[in-house]
Amino acid sequence: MIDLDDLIREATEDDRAGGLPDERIAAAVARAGTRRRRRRVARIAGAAAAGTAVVAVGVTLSVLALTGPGPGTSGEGRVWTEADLLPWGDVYPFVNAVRERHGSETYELGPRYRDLPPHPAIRFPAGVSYSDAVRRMWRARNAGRAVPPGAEIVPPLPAGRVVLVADGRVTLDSAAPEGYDTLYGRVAGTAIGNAPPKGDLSLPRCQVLLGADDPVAPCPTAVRHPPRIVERSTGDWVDVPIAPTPVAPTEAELGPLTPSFAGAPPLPREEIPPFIVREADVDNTAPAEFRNCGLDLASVRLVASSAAGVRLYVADGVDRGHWVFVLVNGAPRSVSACGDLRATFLTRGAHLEYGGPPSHPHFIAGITADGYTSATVDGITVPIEHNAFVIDGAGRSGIVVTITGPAGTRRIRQP
Amino acid sequence: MNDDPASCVPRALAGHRDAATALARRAGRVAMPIASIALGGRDAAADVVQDVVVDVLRDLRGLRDPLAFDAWVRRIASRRVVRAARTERLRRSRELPIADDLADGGGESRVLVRMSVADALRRLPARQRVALSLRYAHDLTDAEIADALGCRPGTAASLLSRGREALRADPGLRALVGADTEQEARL
Repeated sequence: MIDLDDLIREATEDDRAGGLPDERIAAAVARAGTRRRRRRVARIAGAAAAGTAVVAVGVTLSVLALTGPGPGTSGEGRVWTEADLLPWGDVYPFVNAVRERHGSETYELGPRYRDLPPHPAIRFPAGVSYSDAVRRMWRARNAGRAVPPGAEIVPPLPAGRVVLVADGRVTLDSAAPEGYDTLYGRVAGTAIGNAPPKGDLSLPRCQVLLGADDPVAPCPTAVRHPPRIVERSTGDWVDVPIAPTPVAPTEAELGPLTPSFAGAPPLPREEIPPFIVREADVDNTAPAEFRNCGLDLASVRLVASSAAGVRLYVADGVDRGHWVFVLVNGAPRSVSACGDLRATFLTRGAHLEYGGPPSHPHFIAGITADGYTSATVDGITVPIEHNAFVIDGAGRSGIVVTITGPAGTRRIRQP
Repeated sequence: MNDDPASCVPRALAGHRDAATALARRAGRVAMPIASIALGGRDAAADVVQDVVVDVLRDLRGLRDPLAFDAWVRRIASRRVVRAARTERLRRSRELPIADDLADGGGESRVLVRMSVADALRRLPARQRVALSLRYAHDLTDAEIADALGCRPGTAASLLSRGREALRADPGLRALVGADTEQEARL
């Protein structure tokens, strides 16, 4: 007779020995250090904002004592004017971008909603839909005006809410009228220089108040796919249907031509670069594949990089049939793909992404099936490690990529 | 480097990277066995343990007693592992270590035992699985397991008892342990 405890102890002997590999320790220390610094900055900024708010409240109370309440007065008696609007800049029309340094790169990103100082809202005339209100704000800001014609400054909306629809009038958060992404909390906004946002804009349900007494639960961040609503032309707000997750192929179906990202244990996870977050999670700009693949965008694995700063990441997908490849260069510009790529690996041996114009890509990055060890483009040969490679400065002849290895040689022409 | 929390915690909080790294290693050694047993292998556990280490370093300021570092890490690890055990995301990587062992020809019977135990554990509810992992990883008492899981000792004892009962009833383990154990369990 064998004792159950002895059996399990024997079976788990390997599990009890050792700790985390050094590379993961280093990655964890780096990630924790980044977050500590960010929180310290946030605390300092918060303290500064609090100090500013105290001074502002004092000044406002003094003004109120002299003038009494007026338009845009909150329940507490504060007068909100154009002067209270947060500054906006040449990237986002509703609030200034923040510059954050991550690794060797500095990024201009939307600020986090929770870090915004108190700011007023903007109320529109009756008959203006939410989407039209956003477009009016966008056009006004692009024209250098703080408030669109016919709109007025009103006290702030409740925390977490960016839209209030009451008495047939739409009121928008003046700094985040397009809401904020629910995964990282960054303010969304169509950038200046782009076309104004088109169509019926949707928002996470919990960021909208439909009536002043709308009983909606708190609006948390760190939610990947929150329920969303959109206003139809009739003025009704309806739920946005959630796209079904694609059916993933089974392990057996994928066969040996699938990239295994050679590494056991797998490459360490890194916090997803913030530029990618902006690309991936701001709803109006997110490629559909990010939303539909059910990918874990909280972290990614760096599988290849180049001297010019192109970095190729792979995000964990719902199954082996789905990956996302995210390439970042210093421009900044990113390219991404997600989907069932079995056919690509079977017929071409690799999935390629090109940076820049198709005829003159300034980088080519690829994920190859197992069994390939080097890639050649325009006379430049680079090794393939972890099923991935990046080549800088491929010229016109870069439209043909040759991959070689024990699995054979493949010449892949740009489609 | 010495990883004694009494000296490393204040130094890590003061910004010394070597102290933070030493604590990270220690946290990894505490968390890895728990996660590895509960999730069925070190590769499957690595992501979770890395997240545990990040949590530990990030929240270090909240640790009141540096001497309670290991128990604190176990609490964080238990939370993370319970959450991970409740998802199916790790299914694929959980199966890899066994396949690797088989491919390496690392002793068929040992692999069979590992596979059977891993399968049996996998069928348990997450908290039972983590309670048993805490017991087998660090030989903790019921009270220590309760502390790690944030429950009362009676609840921990109940989780352990039900988990062991389910393991004894598992067909794969019964074949390995033998019928006597089954009779013993009924007594």
